[in-house]
Amino acid sequence: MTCKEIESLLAPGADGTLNNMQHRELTNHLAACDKCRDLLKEQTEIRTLLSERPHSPVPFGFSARLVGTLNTEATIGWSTWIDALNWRTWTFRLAALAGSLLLAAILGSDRSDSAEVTTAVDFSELVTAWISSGGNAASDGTLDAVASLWTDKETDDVLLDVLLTAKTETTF
Amino acid sequence: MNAGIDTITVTMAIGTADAQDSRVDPDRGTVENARIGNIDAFETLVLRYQSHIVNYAAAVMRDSNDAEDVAQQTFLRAYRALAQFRGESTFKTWLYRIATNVALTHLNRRDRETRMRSRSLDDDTSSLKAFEIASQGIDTETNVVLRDTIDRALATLPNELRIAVILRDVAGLDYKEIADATGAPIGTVESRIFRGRQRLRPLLRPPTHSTKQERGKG
Repeated sequence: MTCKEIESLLAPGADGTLNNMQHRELTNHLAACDKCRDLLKEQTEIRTLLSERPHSPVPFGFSARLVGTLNTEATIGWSTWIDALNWRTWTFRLAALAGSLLLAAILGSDRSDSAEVTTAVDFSELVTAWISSGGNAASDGTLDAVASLWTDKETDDVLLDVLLTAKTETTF
Repeated sequence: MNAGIDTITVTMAIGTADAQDSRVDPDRGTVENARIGNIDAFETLVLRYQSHIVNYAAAVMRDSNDAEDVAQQTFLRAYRALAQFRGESTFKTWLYRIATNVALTHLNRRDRETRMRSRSLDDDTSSLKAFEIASQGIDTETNVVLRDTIDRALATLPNELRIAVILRDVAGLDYKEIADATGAPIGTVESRIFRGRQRLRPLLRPPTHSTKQERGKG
């Protein structure tokens, strides 16, 4: 056998895992080949050194942590966690939630708009009455009502809108 | 180099590969119990193999935190996949296969995150001494140094060579078990181990004759 062919026997030869025929072939080749003898010696030395590598210690509590995780999974059901990672599951669940949020937003939006309109209308009427009275509304309490609405409920935009659209012939 | 021929001839014992193929998995009963959800049975397997898997992971990863992560994930995956374990290999080999896959995933992620600067182990001061250390007796500090020296050398190997060499020389699996664990043909496994050891040779250099003489004088 050539050196190239014998090469595949060198690692198992160093490990002592050759069968009878392979062992004979290698022995015959080594008897006439210094190079392969050196290679086999090196394989044996490295193998011996690596086999003496001190074991890495098992971290304290290793098995306890592992069993703890397994028990937790057994309690909860680890398939639940896998489900949680499934985007399809999330899509279906979120669809219902998204629908609910959308409905709430629409209803909330309607209620808010109508309340604003109602308030604006009331405010508009008050302002119109105040202007119609020539700004002298203190006696019937209109001014107080306007001031109260302005400070408590209305925004500057509403006030401006009302003032600009108030039906009056009075000029300031 | 002819001086070493006697030693070599003695080392070349005839293997027992045929006998190893026909062995029965000693974990079969325990695995069956664990398969039906018996966590105590699985814990028995964990206690039996945790030192093997942690040691293997540590040699491959060369980082104790990564090694523990790999070992924990190996057992978790094994437990979850017990239903798929068909007993075509032994439980131990199957466990090493899972550990190999988990470790490779970790290594690839780590390599992407940071390209480790390869350290030169080829100078006389850092390159080895591993043979000397191994002969100095056993204590914790010596063990740490020897292990680190070997792991540094192993870390220079490409993944496929490193894993094959570690499975053979550190974990002690036979060639068929390594083939099962890595999914590679036996011929490829033999080649990887041969090439891996060859590459380690200049990094794990034994003391030269002159060094021994100097030490003797000192």
